[in-house]
Amino acid sequence: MLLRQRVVQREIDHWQDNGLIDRSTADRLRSDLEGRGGNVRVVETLVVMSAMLFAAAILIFVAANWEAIPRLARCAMLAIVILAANIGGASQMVRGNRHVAEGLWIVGAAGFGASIALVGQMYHLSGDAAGAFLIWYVATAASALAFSSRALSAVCVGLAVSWLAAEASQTFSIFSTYAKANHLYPLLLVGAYLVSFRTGSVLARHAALVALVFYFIWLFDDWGVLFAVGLLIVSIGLFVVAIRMPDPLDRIVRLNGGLPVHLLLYAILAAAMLHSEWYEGVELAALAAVLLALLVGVLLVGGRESRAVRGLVYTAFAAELSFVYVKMVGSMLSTAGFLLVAALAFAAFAFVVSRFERRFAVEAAT
Amino acid sequence: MTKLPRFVLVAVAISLLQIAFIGWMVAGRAALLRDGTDVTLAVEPIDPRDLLRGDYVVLSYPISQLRGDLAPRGASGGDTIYVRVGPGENGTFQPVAARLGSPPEAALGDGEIDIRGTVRRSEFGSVHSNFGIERFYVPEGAGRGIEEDMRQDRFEVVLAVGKDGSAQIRSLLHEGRPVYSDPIF
Repeated sequence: MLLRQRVVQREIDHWQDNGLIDRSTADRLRSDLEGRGGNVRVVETLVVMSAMLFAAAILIFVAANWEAIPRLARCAMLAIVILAANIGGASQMVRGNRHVAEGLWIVGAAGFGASIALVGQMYHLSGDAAGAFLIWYVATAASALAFSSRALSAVCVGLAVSWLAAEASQTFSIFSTYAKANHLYPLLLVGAYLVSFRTGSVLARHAALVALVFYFIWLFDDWGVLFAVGLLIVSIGLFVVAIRMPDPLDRIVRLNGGLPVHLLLYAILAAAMLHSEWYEGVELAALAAVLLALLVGVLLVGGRESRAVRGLVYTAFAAELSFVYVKMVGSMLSTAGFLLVAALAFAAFAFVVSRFERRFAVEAAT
Repeated sequence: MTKLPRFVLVAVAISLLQIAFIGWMVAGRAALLRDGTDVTLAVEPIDPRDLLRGDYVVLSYPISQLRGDLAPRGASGGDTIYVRVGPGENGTFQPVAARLGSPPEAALGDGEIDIRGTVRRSEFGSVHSNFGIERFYVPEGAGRGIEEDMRQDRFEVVLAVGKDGSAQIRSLLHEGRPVYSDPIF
């Protein structure tokens, strides 16, 4: 919040200096801005962070398998933690202390996960760490729904990722032996996304969309170039739609206008996948040319509306050029290929610059 | 004030459901220990750590890797496997037959029992399987010592095996004496 406040503060100064608003209006705006307060957020974050530390302490305590406390007593302790944290959270929520409630619910969810781990430890169950995460996910999603807990809906995304990691480590590696993509993972993310509609956690939605990247990598390993091409086309297409019709789309996904950035990230991921297959000779040159052209297109379509999109485009552009440069130098390819790509890139860049200058000129004139 | 009890009731219900689930897991395992048939297997060791459950000793059994005539043909990762074990020399059980999908057809011999597992991989005529009994969790730091002892001494595991073939570790024996035992039902 503080960053946004500073930006608005500067705008108010600017309006006052230019005589757009008078002194008293400016002062009232300033005091309203200060009244919103930026400190509450910090406190909330600290409470949730402390809850996460406490949760980790419970989990590691169970893992330590300390003999001084009999296992059954540890089991009972965890049952008390679950009850006390959930009930305490509910009563704090009723009293209006949302962040304390969220913190307690996180502790409650950790208590449940720790209980599953403890049972596994007590009975020496060797299998299925992934199964444990799945049960944990379901229980946490149920709690998130019951309590409308923002924090727990974000925890669900984390548990989905943990499930994927456990599943992948059980089968050695995502990238080698177990190439078949596991389609339960996106379902878990969709589940967390739906839960977040009830809890109202935008953070959980962003996290779910970022976490989807792991699934894409898995699919790429499974289906190869075809998937990367598809991902590139679909995400660029959706990007254009998301920029052109922000309102109806955002009413569905409810990301506060963040959807285009996610789609652009997917497109950049797809480009990286394609480069992992096509990294030399004509293939590299052709792909680099197409990607640079796409970046220019993205900049023209969405660069004006979003600073994040502009930043991503510049980063991707620099990465693309560096990749091409390193590859060309490293593989001692014919100079012609390098010149071709460089020429295309520079032409594209010049095109962008001239288009922008013209646009700025038009805007300045009107 | 009417809102307080209802929201708290939801919290109680959620907590009790979670605790009941944990209780159900415990009850299932305890029942297996109570009613299962005891089977003793020889073991071989190692010593890593699990993020949530802590230190453990990895156990490998004569039934973990089946070779030659014992190995069922056509096994692939994920298949269910039943391994029949019977009492062998020096008190430990040895595999006598194995079959994919269902228990071996021949009638159970004296003292024999089937253990159910999942095939992990199959290569060069030998079949590697898991039975959910490959880890023995120990207090922090205790694993290394057990691992060292395992190199020279005789270690066995006593299993409780249910009628459906599910197996549960009852205790780890070091020269015939239980290592770290703490009665759990």
